[in-house]
Amino acid sequence: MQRTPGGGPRGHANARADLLQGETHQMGQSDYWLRKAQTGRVTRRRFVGGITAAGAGAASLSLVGCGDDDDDDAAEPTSAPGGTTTAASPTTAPAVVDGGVYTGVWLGGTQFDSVDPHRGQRDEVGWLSSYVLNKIVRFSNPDTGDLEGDLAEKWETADSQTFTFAVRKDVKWQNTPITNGRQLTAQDLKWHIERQAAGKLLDGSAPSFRFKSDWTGVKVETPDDYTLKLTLPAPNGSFLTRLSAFFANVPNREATEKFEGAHGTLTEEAMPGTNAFTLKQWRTGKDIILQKNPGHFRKDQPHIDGMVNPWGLFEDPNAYRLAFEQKQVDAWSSPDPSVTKSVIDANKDNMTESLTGVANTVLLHLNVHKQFKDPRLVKAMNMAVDRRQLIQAFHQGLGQVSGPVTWLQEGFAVKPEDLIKRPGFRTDRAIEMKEARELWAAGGGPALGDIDIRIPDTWLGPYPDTNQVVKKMFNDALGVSQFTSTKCTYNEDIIPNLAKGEYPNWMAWTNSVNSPDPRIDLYTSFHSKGSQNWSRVNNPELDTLLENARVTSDLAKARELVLKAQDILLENGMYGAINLYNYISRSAFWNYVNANVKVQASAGKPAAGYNLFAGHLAAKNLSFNPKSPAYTDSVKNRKF
Amino acid sequence: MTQTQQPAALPAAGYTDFRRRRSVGSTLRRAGALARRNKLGAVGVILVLLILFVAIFSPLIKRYDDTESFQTANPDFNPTANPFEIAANPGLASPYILDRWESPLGSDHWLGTDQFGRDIYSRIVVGARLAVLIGVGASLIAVISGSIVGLVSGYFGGKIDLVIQRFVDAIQAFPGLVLLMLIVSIMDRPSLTLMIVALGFLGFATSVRIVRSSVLGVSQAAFVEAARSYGATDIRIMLQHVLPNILAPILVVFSISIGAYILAEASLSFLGLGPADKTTWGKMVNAGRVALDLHPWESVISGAAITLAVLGFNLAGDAIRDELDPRLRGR
Amino acid sequence: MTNYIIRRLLLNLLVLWFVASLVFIGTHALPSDFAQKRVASTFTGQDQTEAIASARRELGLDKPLARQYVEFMGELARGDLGTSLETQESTWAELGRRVPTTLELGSIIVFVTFALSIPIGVISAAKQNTWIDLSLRAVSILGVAMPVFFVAILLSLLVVRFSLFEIDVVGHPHLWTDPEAAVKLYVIPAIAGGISGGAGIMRILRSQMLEVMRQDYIRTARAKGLHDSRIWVRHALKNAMLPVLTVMGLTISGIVGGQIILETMFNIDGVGRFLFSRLNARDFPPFQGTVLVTAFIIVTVNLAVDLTYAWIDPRIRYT
Repeated sequence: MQRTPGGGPRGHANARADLLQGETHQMGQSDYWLRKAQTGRVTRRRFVGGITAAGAGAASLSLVGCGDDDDDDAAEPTSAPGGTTTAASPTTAPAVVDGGVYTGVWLGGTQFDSVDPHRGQRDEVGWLSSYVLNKIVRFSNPDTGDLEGDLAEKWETADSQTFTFAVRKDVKWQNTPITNGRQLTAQDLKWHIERQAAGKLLDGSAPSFRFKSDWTGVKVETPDDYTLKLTLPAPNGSFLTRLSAFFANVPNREATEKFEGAHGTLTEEAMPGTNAFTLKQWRTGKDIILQKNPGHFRKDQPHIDGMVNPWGLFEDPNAYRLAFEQKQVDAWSSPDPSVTKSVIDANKDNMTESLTGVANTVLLHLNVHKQFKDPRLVKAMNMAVDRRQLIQAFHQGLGQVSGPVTWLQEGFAVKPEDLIKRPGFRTDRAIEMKEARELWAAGGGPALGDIDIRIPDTWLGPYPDTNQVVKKMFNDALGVSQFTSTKCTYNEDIIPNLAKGEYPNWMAWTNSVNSPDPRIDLYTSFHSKGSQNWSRVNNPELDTLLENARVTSDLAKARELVLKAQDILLENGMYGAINLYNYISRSAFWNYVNANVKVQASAGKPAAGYNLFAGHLAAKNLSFNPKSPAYTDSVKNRKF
Repeated sequence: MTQTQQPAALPAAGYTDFRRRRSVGSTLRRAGALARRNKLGAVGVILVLLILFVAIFSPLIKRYDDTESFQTANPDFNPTANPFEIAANPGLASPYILDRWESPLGSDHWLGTDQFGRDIYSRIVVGARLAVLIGVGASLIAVISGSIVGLVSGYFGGKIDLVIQRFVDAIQAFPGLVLLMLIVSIMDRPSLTLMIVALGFLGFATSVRIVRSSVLGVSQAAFVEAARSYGATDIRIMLQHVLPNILAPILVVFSISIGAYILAEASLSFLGLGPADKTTWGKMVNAGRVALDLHPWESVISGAAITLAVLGFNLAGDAIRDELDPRLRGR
Repeated sequence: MTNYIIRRLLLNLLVLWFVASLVFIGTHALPSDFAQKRVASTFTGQDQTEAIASARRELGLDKPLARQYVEFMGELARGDLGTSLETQESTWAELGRRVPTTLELGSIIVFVTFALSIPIGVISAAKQNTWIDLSLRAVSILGVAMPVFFVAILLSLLVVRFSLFEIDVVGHPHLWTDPEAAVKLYVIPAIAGGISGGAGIMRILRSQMLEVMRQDYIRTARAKGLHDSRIWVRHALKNAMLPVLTVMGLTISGIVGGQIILETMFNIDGVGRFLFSRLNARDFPPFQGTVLVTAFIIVTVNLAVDLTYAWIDPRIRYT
């Protein structure tokens, strides 16, 4: 079964490229790349080189008005005051036609453990609710981190500690029983925050609220019905990014309270929304159906009439492909990327290829409290692991190495030209192995005896030969025969033992990247007071860097600090929490649909999907193109 | 009609007296005559012998390590390539590339390579050994356990028989693959050995049935009564008189069901429940099926291997059955 | 005879109790449970032991095993097959939605099975040892030997590659809602399943017919001057059907169990796929309930087959 936890091939509810056309924001987050370009300190060459590794090359180029092709004459970046840019998109975007029903598997899976976005432990409820509910602010481009208002039309903060939001006055809950089309006010937002902070249900019980720690100590005031004032316990430069994450959706109070007891049973009644789509059907075992919300405050959205996600189709690759080739679904991805490519190549005029970086970072996690106490051993392992071999072995070469900040987070990652000079990332395997062996011997590696690098069973599903590959890789690299590899599970072997320091050495997916801004995650993982600092890192210099990075809203400064922090991490083999790589997913979609992608496909170049979740942009970007020769009556006449 | 002599005292036809010995020569001649008479059976036996040969000698004939991915050096390696470049040329981001999906035609690899650059011929050869182990192993377990239980159940009759038979009914009342799926899921990604045990457990019920009904028939025969009358113990009777006469149906069940176990393992692999540590033919068919129209050789060749193996064992088993006791046909 | 029937019914009850116990032990011996699978099979780095524990409490999974067993038996006695942990619907309701689909596919498969196997079996027996017989036998053995999904994949790829017709794997068509689309969807699994099942039946039928043809009463019929074809159909076939009836019991068990593989491959929401998905999700009440229902049907069908035997063949007497 081709499930990847936390996401995997994201639904490419396709997008059009004019990302910033007409989108403005006032104050608050400024356009980092824009300012960089304006100061003139970045030459175009370096600019391009710096971000191509993220795969958002073309996107950022259009962001600042440069040509699509590297060989174009260098057009100086243009900008407009107030933080807007005109996107000089080289491909003319097709005219927008309203109507049509999109069918596709746009989520990574259909497992929902709760209808309550506050309580759901799995990411799926966050993804689905992004189509139906709104957030306070949202990403206009989740990969670069540019923000725009959602429920808030304006916001201001002087010190990243006190935030004042002006709530839109035209947001209405959907016109169905329970909500009856009532107005959304700041009171809804107040409830949204305070409920999570308190972590209690109406009956007084206190089950797990997934994001409670985000809201602890936050003071909420509503001076009037359309103003929200938040005072954080400490300055937080990433607060707005956190508010924009895919899981930060504002649910409806009445419905959530009504279904509190039966929160595990799916029903569309439990999630009435304010966004462009409403849930028409949401039941276990049945197709998920979203339909257009006529009362949505963005009057021109969505373009389509509805979306259908066929339940269970994702499970069998043959059924999925059958459905796609017969135009019963609009997008598809095969477990074997070369198959996807072949199908696309066989249908060059009618299908489009789309590439997306997958936010599920692959991690090698060593237990530094047990066998790997000596930091030299950790550094040796960082060099012994051959990231590129793993990308070849499991993903057929579609992937790129990732440092402590992944290449998806282009604003903060170490630049690729720089990263390949660091130990563990160097291209000369001979040197890596030589130094690894020296460190291994110096750190007393051979005396450790048997070392088991365990692989969770969910990883072994799609990549069943991992045990053999990993065992051979480490034994060969270090010139020993100590390594074995067995299976384990996240739930029994890893997660309960993380806090205790009793976890095994393992390799597989880690928390998926959900923000272009890594500062909170870096703090959580490597600060001495971080809540997920499993390696119990305690480095005062690192602590200071991470603290300062967190509180500043000056992006240039934040970036510098994060880079310095990464230097420390890279020198120390990331203290055992060794990021390996992020891979790339290839999918195909029929070109009768204008997909929710970051960059349109152009001659010879595939489209680029959003690496981070961008379902909330589907309403804006997803539409049909009846002029496409592939458009048939069967597509046109879809009903739900 | 069997060709053995029957002692005059036996009223029930078809039961053989195993006391006569035969020479090797006459056995071979009998084999030749058999082959001429039953051509399909001969084909089956040849296939079985072929598969056994491959299975036994697989370490010698396999050419490459079946888990080794073939890599070649990559002159285009560009460590800072962006995803577009990588997608157009996947090898770009790596100093070596996998020999992916090589067709058997015009390649060093006799049967091509799979998605990860592994030689298919070697994997088929190694898979032959696994298929034989699975088929024969599971069948042995099923038949031996089933025979013991069936013998006891049929011979003693009464309450023991009643309870055992109901238990067997219960196992057979589970629909199709379900019991097998349940057992394999409990074992949680089992090794090959455990998988064989699980498969054997499934066939146990059928063996019990068949053995029991044969035992019932034999128990009524006069020579058994005679043996009892001169004071032989139950165990003695079971082992010396009953067992030899039910060997025929046991042998038939054993040989006919080998193919079924190989197919059952292929089905489990299709559903993703196959053995965790080894690559069986069933797993290869499943792995190759996403690309069946583009790179058919992995699935087609391993599917053909399964088919031939099952075919061979079935035909051979049919021939054995036809030969030993015509009465058993259709039961 | 009545005594026999009553005895068999009571014994069937014993069998069903065995089945219930076996499946209960089986599902509770599975490595992870519903709470774990549902709540926490993605890695978020947070410790979810608490969330899992509270989910277990909510669902009643934390009660001691013996107590759960007793409750399970009590529910069964009342005819309650449990409620799904995932949808909170009763197993009866879930099954009720899927049984028609499975019967639909199953009956088409059975139809294809018998349509293929009976004529082929008869012809093969009638022309014993001619090349027709040999090739038909070879083909049927091949049919048994090929994995069923293999045939299905090949056929479906052929259909799509040459755009022969459209297979609707998304819209769940049925014979009663959209017969044309339903037939197109079911034709490939029916052929794949029919070939697999039919081959076995064909061989049994053939050997049974050969045996019957050697019997004295057939010679008598010939001597009486009856035509061969009449003999074949009237006497031989009728008598040869007896063991085929036994196999029919097995075939129905196959339908009732659902064609798990075929249903998964074509996204058909039937009982077989339901069983598989419930097992994977560790949602065991519907799994247990469904297994019991199918077991009940199987043992009842077996009883019916045995009784039919007695009715057809006057030599068989049950005491």
